[in-house]
Order: sequence, then structure tokens, then C-alpha cells
Amino acid sequence: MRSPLLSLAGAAALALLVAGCQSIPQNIDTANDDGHAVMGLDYRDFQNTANSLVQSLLSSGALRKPGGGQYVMASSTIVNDTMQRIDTDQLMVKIRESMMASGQVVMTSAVGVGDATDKMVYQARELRNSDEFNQSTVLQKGTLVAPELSIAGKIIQRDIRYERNKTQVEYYFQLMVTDLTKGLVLWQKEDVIGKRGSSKSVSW
Amino acid sequence: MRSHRLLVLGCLALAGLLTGCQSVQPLPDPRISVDPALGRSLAVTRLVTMRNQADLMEMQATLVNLGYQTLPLDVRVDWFDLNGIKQGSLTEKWNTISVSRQAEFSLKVTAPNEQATDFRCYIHEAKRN
Repeated sequence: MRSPLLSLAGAAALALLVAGCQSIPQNIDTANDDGHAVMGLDYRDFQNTANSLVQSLLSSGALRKPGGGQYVMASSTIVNDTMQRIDTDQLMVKIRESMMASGQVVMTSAVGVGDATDKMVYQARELRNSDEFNQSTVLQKGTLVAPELSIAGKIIQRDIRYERNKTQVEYYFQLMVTDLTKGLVLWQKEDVIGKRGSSKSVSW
Repeated sequence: MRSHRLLVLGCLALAGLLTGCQSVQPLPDPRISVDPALGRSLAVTRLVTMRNQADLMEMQATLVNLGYQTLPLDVRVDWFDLNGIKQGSLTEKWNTISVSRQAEFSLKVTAPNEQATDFRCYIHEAKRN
């Protein structure tokens, strides 16, 4: 009689122990995150890189249009040459947001590469031949504004063996702004993030 | 001859003493807030503000690491317009910099837009990881 009671108590204690050891998920305070670094790219890396690139771009004066007004800018390709599956918009959205907030640039979603375009710009124009729509409300020809500047870039990863069991991972963020009229590069910057850690902690 | 030598030695000792006692005075500016815990390790010696060629305000603060170890710092800059309304910016998140031992670091930050005319800069020691 005693032994079944004991085994029951033991099982209950074990269940409590297991439940107590389970880690409870926690929200990250993204404004004050002092968690340790990771070998891959995390949101803090994108945040710091975007900040560095935007600071350089804004202080360069490259976005100041001679004679006043705002430049119209299109997003070109951001090549992901890393071993990670990165949605390059994670970086570009922050940069586009800051450029537009500066009041010096307007981004176009009519022309661009990938997710930077809005298909509705052209779909709305296909309504010109439809009898279902009041044609006076349909978008007219020749209303789109062509881009004057383009922003393009590349993210590169290099893995280097640092010590016997350590790897150094270097991420290069390259960005440039081109004047589409003349084809001249108005601004360019490269920012590097380096990480060292155990070779066991993979970076892809 | 002997007194001449003594004079030279005295001058050298005095120069060494002065160099060793060189003090960098902290800059009292309400726009820059340094964590008191950094009191003896960090001094802000100069603050310059200007409008750049894009008509955006820029601030540059000279930070001096008074210690003998590289000092990692977290820096945040909040920008405000004339009415004191905060302007959204990537600099409102903590960014990590590091200042080499016994060296200066020029912290330069550009305002997010033309309306930003005032700022608050917060500095504290970054966690080493």
C-alpha cells in the first residue's frame, strides 16, 4: 500500500519539476534589448546598419535637390549574397522610411524591383477599357511620375576560420544611390558587421 | 653646470607632473545626459551643432575615455521640433559605439528632418558580450 503511494508522490514531484524547468517565452524589449549577440543577422544588426547608412546619406547632402523640391526615387535590386535567407526589405524598409521622413525624397512604387512595386498601379489602369467603370473616374494616361534616383545594394557574407573551434563571420552591407538621368553615383557606403563565435553556432 | 642640470631635471619633472594631472572637464549641457555610473570613465568635452548642406541639423559631441580600457557605450539621440514634439528617427534606438582607452571619439548625429531643431543625447555603458 505504501509503495503505490510513494510512486504516485514521486511521479507528481517529477511532473512539477519538469513543468518548473520549462522556459516561459518572453517578449523582447526591442528598445532596450541587452541580450547576447548571435552569429546570424538579427533585428539589432539591421537596425544599427540602417542607422549608420541613413546617417551617412542624410549628412552627405546627396538627397538635396538643386532648386528645391523632392527627388523621386525607385528601389532597385538588393542582392543577398549570404548563406542566410534574408528578406532584404528588412533593411530597405527602414532606409526608405527614413529617407521619406527626411522630406527630401518620395519613393515610387510604380517602378522598381521585387516587392518595392505595387501591382495595383497598373491593374487600376487596366480598367480603361471596362464598361463596368465610370470612365471619368478611371486613371488617365501620362499621370505617373518617373523616378530620378535609384537605390541599390548588396549584402555579402564571408566566413573565416579564426581559431580551431572559432569562426569569424563578416557581413558587408553595400548601398548606393544613382542619378538615373546621368547614371552617376551620388552616394555610396559600405558598413561591416563582424561576429566571432563557436564554429558550432551556424550562421545560416 | 650642476645647477643647470638640476633646472632641466626640474622642468622635465614638472612637465611630467602636468601631463599626468591633465584633467578633462565635463561639459555641462542639458542636452547631453551621461549615466552617473560613467562619471570617472567618460567626459564630454565639446558639443557642436550646425545645419549641414541638406539643411538638416547636426550635432557632434566629443567623448573622451579617461580609463585604461576600451569603453563600449550605448548611445541614443531623440530629436524634437520647435514645439517639443519628438521626431521619429533610427537614432531613437540604442546604438553601440566604443571609445578606445585614453582617446577621443567624435559622436556625430544628423537630424531626421528639417523640423528637428533640438535633441537629447543619452549615453550609458554598454553590456559587454
